Amino acid sequence: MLSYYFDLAIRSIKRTPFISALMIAALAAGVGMTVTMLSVYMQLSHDPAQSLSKQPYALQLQSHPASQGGSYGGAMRQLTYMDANAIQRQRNDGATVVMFKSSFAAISPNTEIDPQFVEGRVTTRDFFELFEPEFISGNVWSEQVDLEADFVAVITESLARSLYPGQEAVGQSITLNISEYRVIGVIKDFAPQPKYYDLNNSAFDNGESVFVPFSLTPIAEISNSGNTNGWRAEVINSYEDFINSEYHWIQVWKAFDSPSQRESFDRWMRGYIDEQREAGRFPNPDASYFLRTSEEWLEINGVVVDESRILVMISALFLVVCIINTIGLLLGKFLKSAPAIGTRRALGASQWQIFLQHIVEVSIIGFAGGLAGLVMASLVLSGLDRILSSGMGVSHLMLTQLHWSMWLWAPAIAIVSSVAAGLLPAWRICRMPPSLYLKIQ
Amino acid sequence: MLKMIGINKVYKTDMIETHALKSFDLTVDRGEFVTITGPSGSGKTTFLNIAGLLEPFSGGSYYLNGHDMAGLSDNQLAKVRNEQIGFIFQGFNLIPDLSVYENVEVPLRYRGFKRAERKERIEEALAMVGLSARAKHLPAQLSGGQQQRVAIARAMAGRPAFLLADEPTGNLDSVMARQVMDMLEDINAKGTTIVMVTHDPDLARRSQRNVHIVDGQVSDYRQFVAGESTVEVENA
Ligand SMILES: Nc1ncnc2c1ncn2[C@@H]1O[C@H](COP(=O)(O)OP(=O)(O)OP(=O)(O)O)[C@@H](O)[C@H]1O
Ligand SMILES: [Mg+2]
Repeated sequence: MLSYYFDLAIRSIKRTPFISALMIAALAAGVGMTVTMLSVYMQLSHDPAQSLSKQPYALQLQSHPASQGGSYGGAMRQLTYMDANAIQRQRNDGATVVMFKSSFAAISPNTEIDPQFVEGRVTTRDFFELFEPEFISGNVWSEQVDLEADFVAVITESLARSLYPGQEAVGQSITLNISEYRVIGVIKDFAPQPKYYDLNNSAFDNGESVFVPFSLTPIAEISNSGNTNGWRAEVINSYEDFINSEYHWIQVWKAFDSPSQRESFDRWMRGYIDEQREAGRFPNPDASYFLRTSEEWLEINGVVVDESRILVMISALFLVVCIINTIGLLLGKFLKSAPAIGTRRALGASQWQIFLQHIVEVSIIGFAGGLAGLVMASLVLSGLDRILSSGMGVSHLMLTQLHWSMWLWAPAIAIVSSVAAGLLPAWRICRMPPSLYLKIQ
Repeated sequence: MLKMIGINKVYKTDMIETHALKSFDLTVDRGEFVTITGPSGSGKTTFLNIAGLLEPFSGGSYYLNGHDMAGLSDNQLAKVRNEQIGFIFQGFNLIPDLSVYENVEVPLRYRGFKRAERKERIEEALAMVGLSARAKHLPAQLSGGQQQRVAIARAMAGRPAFLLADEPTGNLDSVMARQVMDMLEDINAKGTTIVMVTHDPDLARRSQRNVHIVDGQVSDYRQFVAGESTVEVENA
């Protein structure tokens, strides 16, 4: 019977192509708008760290009164080089990632290849353990390198391909600014979105393509291309001044294998804070530290902004308006077919069968509206992408990619909305007394 | 076969109440061919709609095949219409975007017949009305007489025991009207009970019995016997 209704529905839609197109367009507009906003919201609220094998914690240290800068959950977003380095040197309790973003001119030994400007990350070997980029060849540097420093680098597949076309990258040399490094590992391109591990520039920033040891920082005098924040004025005349300053520019992440490890780290941290306070470095009598889960970290950094929730709600309201319009169109259309429905009722169709016939028809319209809405949403998003990404100087934004779940959401929203729109008209038409429409046509 | 006792039907509109049927009594026996006549607005169509379970009635009782039709659910009513009653209307009421074949198929679809059974019944019904060659035509491509024959095929495809016709020849010229009437007589001869509303006294005379309705009540019955003149049987 359902196939019969389906057949009837297709005929009915074809019989009134203009009205059908109008209804599909109305639903597409509502669904398209809702799906666009929902997709943005989903991209914003996605937490890539959920799939990691260890829960990483962002570490914040509140060394000075929060009133002097501490708008990220009551503390500053980053740490000073001195504190970060101390935490990194402690290193017994769990994994420690200490890092900042930099940028380099990357030069291939092959002189035919032009130097290129690349984003880099200056970090510790635990970065790879914690955030799990995938190695294609080679490996990360040893613990020894984290302590004693060495000019080694891990690069991404894309960079390897452009610097050493057709060649194995591991073992090659790469010049970053003025220092020569040895490539010891190649990873797949790595750009989790949002970029939870460093939210400085943008949550939807592209990833970096070269990774070098944090221990090189004072040796190679690597400059920071992320944010640098301070809570007091300082005179900086040299790189040494900079790394010994109270400027906050280093991101620190921790992960623990066991609760006892975490307790041990906590004891050490408290000891360190007391020590620094007594030495007069930490002016805050209540100085303390925080470990934030990736979820808390995204929240504290305002990645899922309230505005995006409001936009989803506004678009849902717009969808309701589109549904109400569709109800009007459907009522008009269905009532026009009243004589045929009267005939069907006389020939033995029950109210329920007439109801179903019309619900099948609106579901088909809804499905078409959903697909059209999905196409609309991807067009709107790619338009947004072109505008926003050129403004930010990046190749594309994850934010403006259609979230995969929209392929499920869009048809579901469309069918539910069309059935919602069709319920009243289908109910009206099936409840009509058949005798009224059986007189001379 | 059909038995109505004291049926009332009141139409209420904003302004007025119309008593379309008033304590209406009628019995039709199995195999009869009954014509209904009466002035315009007397309640003929109302009677047919109630007899065909297309409209509810207020007061009185209605038995079809010995079963009480009061209090049946919409589903049950639809089933009775589908299996036991065939309808023919003055306006033919073919569904315009379905072909002749598909129009005849409608009641069989609701009956839940499989494709093969539907095909057999449709072909048989179309052959009966002499329109096998027109199966693929749309109603608009047929003459009025042909359309009404399709409607008869559609009404008969489900092999109902009972055929209700509301001025089936009202929109047809006399030649076509006679053709349709011949066809109905054939159908009746094969055992189907027919109740037909008509304005045409000649057609009324061709039936076995004529019921005259005035003001929502049966005013008189006339029994016709083939070849003889009218015999007044009863005055209501
Ligand atoms: N749906 C309705 N609403 C209100 N009044 C109605 C309705 N249908 C019929 N009536 C009234 O009921 C009365 C009987 O109508 P009905 O259609 O049964 O007459 P009829 O005998 O079939 O007339 P005709 O020969 O013109 O077809 C009329 O007065 C009519 O106005
Ligand atoms: Mg009438």
